[in-house]
Parts: sequence; C-alpha cells; structure tokens
Amino acid sequence: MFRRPDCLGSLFAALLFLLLFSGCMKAGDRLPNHLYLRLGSDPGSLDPALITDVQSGSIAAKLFNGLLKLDADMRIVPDIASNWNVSDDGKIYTFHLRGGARFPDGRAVTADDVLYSFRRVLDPSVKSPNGWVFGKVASMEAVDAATFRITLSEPFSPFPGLMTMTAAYIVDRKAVERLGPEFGGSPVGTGPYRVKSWRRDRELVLEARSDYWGGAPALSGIVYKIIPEHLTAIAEFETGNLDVIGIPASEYKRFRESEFWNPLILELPGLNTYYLGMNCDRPPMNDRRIRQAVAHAIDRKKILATFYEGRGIAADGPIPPVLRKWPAPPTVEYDPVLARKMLGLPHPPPEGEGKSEEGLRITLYVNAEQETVDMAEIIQSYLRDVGISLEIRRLEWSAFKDAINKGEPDMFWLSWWADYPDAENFLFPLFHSSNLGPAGNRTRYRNVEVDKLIEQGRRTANNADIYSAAENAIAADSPWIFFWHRTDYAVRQPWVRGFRLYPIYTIDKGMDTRVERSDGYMGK
Amino acid sequence: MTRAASIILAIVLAACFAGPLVYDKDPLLIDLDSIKMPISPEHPLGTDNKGRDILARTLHGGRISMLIVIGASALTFSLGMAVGLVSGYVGGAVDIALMAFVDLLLSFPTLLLAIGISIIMPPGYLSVLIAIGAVGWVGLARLVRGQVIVLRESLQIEAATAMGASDVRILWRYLFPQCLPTAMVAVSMKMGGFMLSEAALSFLGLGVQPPAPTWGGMISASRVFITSAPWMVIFPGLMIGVTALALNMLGEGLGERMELH
Repeated sequence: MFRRPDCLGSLFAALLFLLLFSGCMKAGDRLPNHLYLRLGSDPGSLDPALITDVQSGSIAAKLFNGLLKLDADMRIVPDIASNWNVSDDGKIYTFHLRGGARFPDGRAVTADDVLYSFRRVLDPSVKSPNGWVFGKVASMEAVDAATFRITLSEPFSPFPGLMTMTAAYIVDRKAVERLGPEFGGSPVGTGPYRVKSWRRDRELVLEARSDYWGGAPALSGIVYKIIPEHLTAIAEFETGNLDVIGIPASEYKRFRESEFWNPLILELPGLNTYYLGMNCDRPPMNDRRIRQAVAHAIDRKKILATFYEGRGIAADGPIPPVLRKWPAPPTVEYDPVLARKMLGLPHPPPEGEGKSEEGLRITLYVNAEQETVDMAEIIQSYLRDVGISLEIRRLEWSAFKDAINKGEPDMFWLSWWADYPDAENFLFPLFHSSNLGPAGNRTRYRNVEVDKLIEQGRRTANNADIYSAAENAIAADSPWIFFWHRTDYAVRQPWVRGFRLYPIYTIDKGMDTRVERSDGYMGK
Repeated sequence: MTRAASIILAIVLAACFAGPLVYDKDPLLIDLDSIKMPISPEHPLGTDNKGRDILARTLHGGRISMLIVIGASALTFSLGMAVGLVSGYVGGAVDIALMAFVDLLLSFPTLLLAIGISIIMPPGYLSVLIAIGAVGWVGLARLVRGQVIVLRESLQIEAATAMGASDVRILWRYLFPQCLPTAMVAVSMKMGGFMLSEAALSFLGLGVQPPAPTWGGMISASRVFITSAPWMVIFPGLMIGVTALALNMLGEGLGERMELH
C-alpha cells in the first residue's frame, strides 16, 4: 500500500505555511479523555472499499472490523469471526461469526452483511481499487446467519492475511444504502469508535462506543487534527495540543538530543521498502546491465547514515528482514569504477569534458515532497559521477502516481508498505507480470521464472526456499535499487499511556491507549 | 535614498555576478560528509542538508533571481509600452478591447495569475520569467495609455500629423521617447515586487527546478530546518529582503525625482 506523503504537495503545504501558527488552538480547550493526533492531510474518504493509503486505513481500523485481524505480534486472529477452518485442499474457508458484534443502531452483524460488504468491493459501480483483495475468490455464500463461506479458485496461502485488510471490513448495509456515495464521509461500522464530527481539512473527531462488543475503549474519543505542515504540527505538539506525533526527518535529531523528549520517543522498524524503480519496459533501463550499473553508482549506505540520519536499515532485497525467513540476497556494493565500466565509459573520466555529457540522459520522477526532492538531488549527484545525466521532474502526488502507473518515467522514487505481514505482499503485487502498472508492478518487470516461483510460493505453505529463490532472481535482475526499510519514529506526551507503534496500520484499534492529563497542564 | 539603494544593489549584483569568480565552490556539489554544518571558515555560511555550500548557493541563486527580475522587467516594459501606445493612440474599438483585457487581468490577484501561467508551462527559468512579466505589464499599459491620450492632443503631434508623418513614425519618434521616462520609473518600481514574486513561485515549487539554486527555492527547501539548522534559511531570506528593499527604494526614489507621486 502507498503511504501518502504528509502534505498534498509543496504548493498546498507552502500556502498553509504562509498561515503558519494561524491555526493554532488555544491551550486548554481539549475534550476530556480524548487522544489528540495529527493527520498530514484530510483523509478524503473513509469508505473501506475505496481506501488505498495507510493514513485512512489506520482510521478505518478504529471504525470497522473484518472477519480476521492482526494482533500486536502480527499473528492472524479472529475478529468478527470467532473462528474459521480451511478445507483439506486449501480452497474452502468457513468463517463462524461471533454473536454480539453490532452496528451503532444495535443491529447484529450477520453473514449477509459480510457478503454484502465483500460483493460491494467487487461491484463495478463502486469503482473500488481494492478488488484484487478478492482476486482468488471463486464464490462466496452466507450459509446461515452466523456462517460465511468463501471458495477460492486455487489454494492461496496469504488469503487469511488479506482478510485483515481494510478492503475486507464489514460495512453497515443500511448506512451505505442511505448515504450512497456520501458513505465515505460518514462511515458506519462495528468498530470501537464512530465518527462524531468531521470538519474537512480541519479536524475529525471519533467517539468511543461504550457498547463495543470487545469492551469499551479506555479513551472517550480520538481527535485527529489535520495539519499539513510539519513545523506547525511540531509547535502544536510542543505546546501540548497534540498527544503523539510522527517525528519529521528535520526534527529527528533535535528530539533525540533533548533530555525531555528522548525517553518519550517510540520507534519501530517499519514493514516497508524504499526503492528507486527503473522502467524495464523500454530503453535505456530495459538493459539489465545499465540497471545494475546504476545500483553500483549510488552509495546507499552512506546516504542512509548521513542524509537519512540512520533512520532505517539498509535493504538488500524487496522484503523487510522481519518477514524474511531466509538469507538476504547479496549486497550490491558501492563501486563507481565498476559502474562506469559497465556503462562502457573510460575511468577516470577524460579531462576537460563535462562529466554529465558523456553518457546516458534519463528522467527521474519524484513527488513534490521536499525530502523526496532532496533524495532525487543526491541520486542525481551520484549518477553524474558515472556519466549519467539525470533530469528530475517533481510532480504533485496524484500527477506523480498517474505518471508512474502509466510507466512514463525512466526511474521513479517510491516506497511500498505492507498490507499484511507476508513476504508475498512484497513479491506478488510488485514483481509478478500480471500486476503491471497501478496494481504495484510499476517497473513493468517481467520474468517468467520469477512469475512461476511467486505463483508456486503462493500455493505452498512452507515456501521459504521458493520465495528466497524469487527474491534472489529479482535482486539479480535489479528492476529496483533497494534503498532501505525505514524505521518509524513517534514521540508522545508524558501523559499518554499504552500507546504503541505497530508494523501494520490496521493493528491499532485504539483500545489500550490512555490519556492521564488533568487539563490546563501545558506540557513541557 | 536613491543613492543608498543603488549602492546596495551594486553590491548585491557585484557579489552575485563577480562573487562566484572569487568564491569558486560548486553550488551543486553534494558532500554527504559535511551535512548541516554551521558557519565555519570552510563554509562561511554553513552547509545545507545535503552538504552543499550555502554561500556558493546564495551567490549563484542571486544570479538566477536577478536575471529573472531583469528579464521580467524587460518583458513588462515591452508589452506595457506596446499595448499602452497603441491603445492610447489608436483609440476607439481597439482601445476598448485592449483595456477590457487589461481590466480582466487586473481583476486577478497577481500571484494567482502567475501561478496559473507557471502551471501551464513546464516549470523552469522561462516559465517564471514569463509568469512574472506577463502579469506585470498591465499596470504599465494603463499608465502609458493615459499619457498618450494627453500627448495625442498636443501641438507637437498635431504638427507632426500636419507634416504628413505616418502613425508608426509618430508612435516611435514622438510618443515613445516622451513616455520612456515614466515607463522606466514605473518598471523600476515594480522590480522589488518581481523579486518577491520569483521567490514566492520558487517557494511554491513552481519556479526554477532543482538542483539549480534560487533564493526562494532555497528557503522553500530548507524551511523545515528553521529550528535545527537556521542558517539554511536565514541567508537566502536576508538576501531577498535586502534586495527587494533596495529595489523598492530605488523605484520610490526615481519616482520622487520624476514627481510621479
């Protein structure tokens, strides 16, 4: 899944920056026992069928339930289904629903609601981008009110993981039918919270449900303040108006070096991979040697240690180490001399010639977020040393997404975030030839062998060797240059208890966090 | 006031255009071993978050910013003069049509119009120059038109017409020189604003594209570091402030001398 940048692009962010601090709240006007969080942009729609970004997904997790969910250790556990069983051939999944899960109007969830919600994602008129979640489903049926059965077209080991995703959340049929397209603005589910108010681009308030079937949350509610600009969010946090914020890169060092804040920093190795994707569909990057040369030309470890201030771990393959149960592919070492050789250029570069004039000219597309533009400039500087002249095009997020989905650029900078904790999620959508373009394989990478391995792995329960072979083959072909798996950092106020970061955005249902703050306390 | 402004501008121009010859660090050179270094003998204004030298970037950025201001002024001058002269001299339907267009453009906030233009064109030097210049000329055109309408009735023009001078000759030999001082002053009064528009567009990411430095672009790229590495923001900001102030003072001073107020 994408992680949408925190601001909608520099234009929007900058305009808001001009109003810096003008939107600050007065201290003290807080709702009691509410957790105050920041959103970088308005979520737009909270309709589970339409959600494709991490931020909206994390809110939807508090409003809805799926059949299954992930626990804090990323194990798949029952949610609305109290238990489930799989037929011996691995194709039929039968879910038994728990009694007591209710929508806010008191109606209990039945298998018909599940069927309705899943069919809705597949309904062409809904235009859900998440239909692939049910891609392996051959048929679904509500056997009786408390039993739901899914038949797959073939055995598919990651399937239970998919059932924890936002797209497989169960929606309130009545609300959907009443609200139509407005459902995304007033979502109704069975989750521990419900939407109390939503002022677009200002704030979204969730209210805890005392009648939640899993017991009432400790909080009375959650207030999401929509603050696009990092500096404003930091200022709000430091005056005590926000309870937890993600630490932006520019402020990382300052919080780390602060005696007050350092012990309050939360960190978690993220299930993500940051990469430089190369268009394998057309010259020049369809040449494997050129892709490998580019990989050798960039000193990723140094960038990670300096510019990135060590906020992640170096990647050697697409799969984050947490999910990898086999040895990582060999590291591609920084070796500009080798890179020049592979590109057929003399070393050292001939005197007096403009270095960038000798070799390839390629385009790199990035979204307009400043950190990404900075990365692009660093990559540009490394590639200049090996005679590649790089043209950077920065685009607003939706234009950028559109361009890379169509395969316009030679190279692009992007990251991939896990939807469910399975190595398969870092292989199939990204490298299988059936997923070219928007589905995830934006480098348009095609390798019959890799396709076969991934398919085989998806059918097999013990698939470490198969996935290892696939990962090694991909690393050798180098459609991506693997940069790093970013670590997430957040900082909390001393009065926030029980708040944790989780590797997948659906895990936190807001059940355990508490706010122990007598009002009027101004924080630091 | 004019003198003080001229001296400041001369210093800024000299620094930006001659400075890089003396201080020859590469403004684009990324050095990951010295990121966010504060002020030091090696980097007199510190380095940015990619280890680039702020002084070198400020000097080179000034060049680009200045060239854009000069280019936009030239564009404003030529468009404003041409439209003003024709509209005022020809009159009638042409005048009404041209002035309606000018009114239309004037009804937009300047920056918004500039943003619109730079979105249509691929961002770069030229788009910024055109975006700023294409917005600046409307005021000038009205000013020149007003003057031409007055001059048109003067004895000099009447005499020229009587002598059989062509319209083009009258416009070029009689009206243009007489409007020139006013136009020059009007443009010089706009230059400070151009400077700020360039900074604003770069700040919004619609200006000259990275890695080329401009003052506005430098501030935009580093504003998040204002608490952790303030030198990244302060120096280009200072330059914009000082230069825009000097340009405004120059325009005001010239205007006073011409008694335009």
